[in-house]
Amino acid sequence: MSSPLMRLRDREWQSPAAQRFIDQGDRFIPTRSMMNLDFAQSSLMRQPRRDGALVDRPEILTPKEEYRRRVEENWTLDSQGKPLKMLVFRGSPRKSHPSVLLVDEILKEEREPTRRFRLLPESADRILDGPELIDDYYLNLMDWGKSNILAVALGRSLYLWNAANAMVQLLLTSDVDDHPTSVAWSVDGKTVAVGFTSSKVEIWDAVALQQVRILEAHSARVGSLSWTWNSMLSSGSRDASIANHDVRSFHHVSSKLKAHTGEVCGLKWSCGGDLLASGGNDNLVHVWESSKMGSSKYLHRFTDHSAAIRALAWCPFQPKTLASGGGTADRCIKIWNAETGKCTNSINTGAQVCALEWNRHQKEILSAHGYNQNRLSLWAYPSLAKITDFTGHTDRILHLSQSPDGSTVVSAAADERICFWKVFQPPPPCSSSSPGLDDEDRLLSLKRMHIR
Amino acid sequence: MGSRTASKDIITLRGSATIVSEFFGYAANSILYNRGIYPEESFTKVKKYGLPMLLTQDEGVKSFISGLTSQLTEWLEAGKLQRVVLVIMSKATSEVLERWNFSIETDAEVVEKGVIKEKIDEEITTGNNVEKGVIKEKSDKEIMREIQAIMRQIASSITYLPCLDEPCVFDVLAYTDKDVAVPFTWMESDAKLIENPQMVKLHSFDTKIHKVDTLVSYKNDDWDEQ
Repeated sequence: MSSPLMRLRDREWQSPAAQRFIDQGDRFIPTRSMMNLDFAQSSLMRQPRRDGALVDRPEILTPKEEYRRRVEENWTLDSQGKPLKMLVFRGSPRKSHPSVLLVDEILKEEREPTRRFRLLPESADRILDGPELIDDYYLNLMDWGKSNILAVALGRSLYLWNAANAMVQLLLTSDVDDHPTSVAWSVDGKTVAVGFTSSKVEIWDAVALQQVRILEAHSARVGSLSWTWNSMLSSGSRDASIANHDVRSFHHVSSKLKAHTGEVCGLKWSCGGDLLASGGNDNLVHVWESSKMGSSKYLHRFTDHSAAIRALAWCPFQPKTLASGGGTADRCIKIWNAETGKCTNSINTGAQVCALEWNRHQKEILSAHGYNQNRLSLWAYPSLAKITDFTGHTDRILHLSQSPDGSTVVSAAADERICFWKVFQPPPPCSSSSPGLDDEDRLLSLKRMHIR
Repeated sequence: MGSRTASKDIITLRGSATIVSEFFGYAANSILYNRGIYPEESFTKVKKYGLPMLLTQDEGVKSFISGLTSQLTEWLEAGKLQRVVLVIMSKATSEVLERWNFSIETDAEVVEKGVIKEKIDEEITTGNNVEKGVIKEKSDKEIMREIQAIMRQIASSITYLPCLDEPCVFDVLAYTDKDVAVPFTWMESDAKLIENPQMVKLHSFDTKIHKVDTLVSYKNDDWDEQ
């Protein structure tokens, strides 16, 4: 039993806690964001002369407006039929605190009006050939690592394409009857994990181009992989299980999760490394807690999709927010609150959703689609109003990954082409030109990395 | 009645709002104490409503409640507050476990007529119109007795409410008229309802301007249903 004082602090997490506000985590964030956005919105509206500027998102609502719209939709009347407003008290404003939360940083940037407008590209910035790229919805064959190297599996081989100097290296070629089925960079970008159709997982040192070890935990092909920051690797397989590996220890399998009944084709650890989302061919999404991996007890099970889910992405600026996209029979993008387990938004995109990537600089999400509209779509968050489509691929777009600085997104499609799109790029500062892909210093400079 | 000093028995709109919001402050403290949301040691005893009442000494909770009551006073004076709900939720899952519901009925006439003269002067008439504020009478003692009854009920509610055996947090919701501007410290919310709840109606009190009905709803215990 802990001391009473400790209990008090424990419970204060959500309710008022004046002194301990900063390290309280995320509970107060929505309040602030709502309030600040309202202010930002109204100050924007008061300057009509900007209307003629590059407005590339006319009908998009701010989160506050979107929220209000939704509240009004579900408006309730009291017993006498009188309309009412429901408010929740959030304590006193704490302006004196320095803004240490990421959302504050984002919001601050959002208030600068220049950040709200940017030119979106009409075509791919760069196109590479990707011969023999396997056209299989259940595989994850491309990942762009923190070291700015794109790993992509083409047929039986895995190539490393250095985005800084466009150099290509062959990392491995598998046996004739085998081929890579999933690729994932470790968080530090030095190690790459490769899953194979023969059910093994290989760990490769991407600097020395050497195999480090082989992990065996599954009985069928490994179609999805995801690392956490502390060298934990999770692998999802056609045998419907998820294995968590500690790649440093001899007995590498630390736990096995069996809740899916179909192939696990989507697997993503959250940015903080505390939650794991898995999507399967059984039309289910599970959310797991890293602290409770011992049992196969999931935190949440989302059953709303009606097709396989391989597109999963955790929101980088709003903790515990997950986006998931369903396959051909479903075609929906759904946004989940992993705190409450509720679906906060859903939109039917009209096409198979193959992959999702959040914009780290703006509140947007990019989706890649397959059957029957082979395009990328950019959506505003949280309204899920469509901003624009990007076309260029002629077959379904299977894979998406974003550059370490979060400015460029790469897409790989069944038409064996790999396209680079500068869709997430923030508007360039007036004084300098936009950075090119071959300018590694600029690309990886911390100044441009607003979030991480 | 006629022998009493009149000024003692008159409740103005402002006075009524103060009584009601003060009641919310004490009620909130009492609920937090009795339901064990904060540890017993962080409360101290004071005498109020003829009862020993417990008030939190935790600075965070204190400032939260004082911020809350000052806003409620403002709304009560404007007659725009329809309901206040104290919601107790599980800290881990945010599941709503209890709702303490205080519905407020405001005498619209008093709010419309606005300022009430502190001093009654029944005789002042101008022409054929009687120009005076609406005056409602009820003795302080009577109101205090009604509030006391509610406070006793809150304290005794632990006997039938299900145990809160996990760390809990609380939120305060206010149902206001639609035309209320949302203050900086408040945000729009959903109702945080409990599905299929058990409900217990408690006493109510009436200042003749504001009538407050108290109701506690809590999560149905599946355990004893089956």
